[in-house]
Amino acid sequence: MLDYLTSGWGLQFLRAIGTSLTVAALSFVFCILIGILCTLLSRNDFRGSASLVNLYTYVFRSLPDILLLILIFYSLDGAIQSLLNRLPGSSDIRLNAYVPAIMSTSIVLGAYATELFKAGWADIPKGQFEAGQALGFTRVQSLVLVILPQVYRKIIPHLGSLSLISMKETALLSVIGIPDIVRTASIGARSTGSPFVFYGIAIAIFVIFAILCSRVFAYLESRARAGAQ
Amino acid sequence: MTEGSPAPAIEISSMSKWFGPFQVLDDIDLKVMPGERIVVCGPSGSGKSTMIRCINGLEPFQKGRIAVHGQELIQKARTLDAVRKNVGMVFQQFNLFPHLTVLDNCTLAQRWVHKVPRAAAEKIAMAQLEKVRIPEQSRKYPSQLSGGQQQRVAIARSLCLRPKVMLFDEPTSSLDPEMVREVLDTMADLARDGMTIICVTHEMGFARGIADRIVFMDQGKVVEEAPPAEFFDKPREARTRKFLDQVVR
Amino acid sequence: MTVLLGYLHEILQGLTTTLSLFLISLVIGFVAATIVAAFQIRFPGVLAGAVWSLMFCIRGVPLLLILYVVYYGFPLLPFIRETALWTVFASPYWCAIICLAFVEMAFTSEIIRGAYYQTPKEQVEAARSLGLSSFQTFRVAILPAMLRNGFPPYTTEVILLCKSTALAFTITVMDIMGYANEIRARTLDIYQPLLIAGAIYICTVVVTRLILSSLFNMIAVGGAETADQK
Repeated sequence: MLDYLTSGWGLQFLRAIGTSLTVAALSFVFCILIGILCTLLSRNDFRGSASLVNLYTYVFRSLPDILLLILIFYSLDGAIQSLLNRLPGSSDIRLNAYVPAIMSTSIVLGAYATELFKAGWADIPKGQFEAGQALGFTRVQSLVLVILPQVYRKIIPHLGSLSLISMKETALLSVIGIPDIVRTASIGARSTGSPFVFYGIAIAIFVIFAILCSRVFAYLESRARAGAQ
Repeated sequence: MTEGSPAPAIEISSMSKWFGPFQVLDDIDLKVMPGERIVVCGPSGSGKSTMIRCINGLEPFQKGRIAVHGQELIQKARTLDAVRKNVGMVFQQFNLFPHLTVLDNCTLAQRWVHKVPRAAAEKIAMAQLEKVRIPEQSRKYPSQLSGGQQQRVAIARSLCLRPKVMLFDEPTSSLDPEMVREVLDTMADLARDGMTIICVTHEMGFARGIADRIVFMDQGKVVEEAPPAEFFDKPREARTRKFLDQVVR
Repeated sequence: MTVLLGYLHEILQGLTTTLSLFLISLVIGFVAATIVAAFQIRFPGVLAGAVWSLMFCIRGVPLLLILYVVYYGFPLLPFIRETALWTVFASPYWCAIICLAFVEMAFTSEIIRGAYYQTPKEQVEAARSLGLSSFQTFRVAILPAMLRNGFPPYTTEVILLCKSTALAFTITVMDIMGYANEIRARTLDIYQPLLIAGAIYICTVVVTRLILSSLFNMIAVGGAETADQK
């Protein structure tokens, strides 16, 4: 195994880890933003927005992630290609494959994040909003200073599993040809003829991430619990 | 106790409010002078809480007008903010922010709404906590305090913003009996300092001892308005007498 | 329109595969999860801890990776290649079922364990104090509470499993996703086949949810009744 790692595969894997972590981190951030935004929309007085959010979460919690990824990957590329063809003098620019990857993961995880934030939000007593108003906070200040910190404390464990899922979702990148951890392992397995070393390394990377993830969120939870209740 | 200022602190004129088809407030008129202490009482569902929640814009109303220190209350963010800067509110459920320490609860609005620097905000907060007699709890979280202590923190939190008027919405109703005293004492201190107070409460002893005027509400209307002596000893209205029979026994 | 109907017809050929992948791995996964969870609850200790750690690791690894290991890796092992196991692992369909059931076991066992430990102690004590045996206690006090607590997360898990079956096409299984992707590659039509497949998956999930929620209502009411009778 050491032979493989020193003969260039080690570097490949490091790059793959970088790729997967970057995509996972970006998708995680975006899905949180989607979650907050959709929760705000669904609590809006405007009745249509709430049902729109419900439709969004229902559809994307039912649709296979891989289907959405392939759909976005091929259609976005085509759409941008045809757009570029209409513009005069532009050369052939291929869309970075990371964009559809991050988009589809964020959309799918955003649906889960929305459910999470909605549930956490619903637990917050009405008095907290009123106290914020009575003290003269603007809506944004109330949101950032009073509401979100409390929602965060309620949903920390779920945020942990969400971050683990966003890491696991990066495995799908291999299907559209991005050299993530799984694809690097597959290529290595095929070209060297020792699949168990390469798949073993990939599995180890994910397991280590899972352990780190659970440690970090357990720590965050204990820190938050030290204060409120 | 009044400072002789002719302008009323709060002026409510012919205000009405509906929840859907139900009229909860019916043509309310009330004038409160600076430094006056008003106790609002009445059976549950009489609209007394709703009325004081209207004064700082927590509830919209459909008819009439409310002015706080000359500033008319309109459902627009700008004017609401201006009014709320003058009006402090204490809730039945305390509504402290559970994720912040007592001190941070008291400094949050100062720092973000009034842009007071942190050190100065903490100094003001400690002074107010001193006043409600719990400075030693400043590093604790609300969940570590008793109900009475939490309510006193809530009062301190409001006072930090130097309001000209304090509204109390049944401040002792969700407290254990042995803690009611400490909160009422704090409010009495406040009254002695000349704060304009409107308090919804069932504590008739407090009303008799502190209030300049008692406002009795029933079914969304102000039924009777009188100084405590007159109110308790010779109430004019039948409904007031009936209510007093039930509360005072 | 006729083109679309043609696509629909072709993609629906994969429906039995998708449904059987889903249902077979669901049943195997649930049985395995029950055994794993029961072991952890019944024999707490080092071994149960090891089992829990193994399940934790499985939950951390992407299904796609497990599919690749089993489908591309296992055939290279002599004890699989040269025994009767080969008939199973040579088929991408059965590889997919094994992987799905394996992952399902890891997630479901944790749901069962969680539901068990959420059962209020007072209820168990009350049942024991009435002189019920430990099996009766389980039947009367623990199981109904477990069903109530465990059903909502299990519903989520079942839906996730249904979605995950779509990954089977990456190891050449021709399920709904497989046919849709094949049409996409062959005709260069992107939206039509994939959206049709998406609609089929959504319908499957809708039906699954309906079945599960009516099942939950039946069990929840029944469980409460048996608890009352005793």
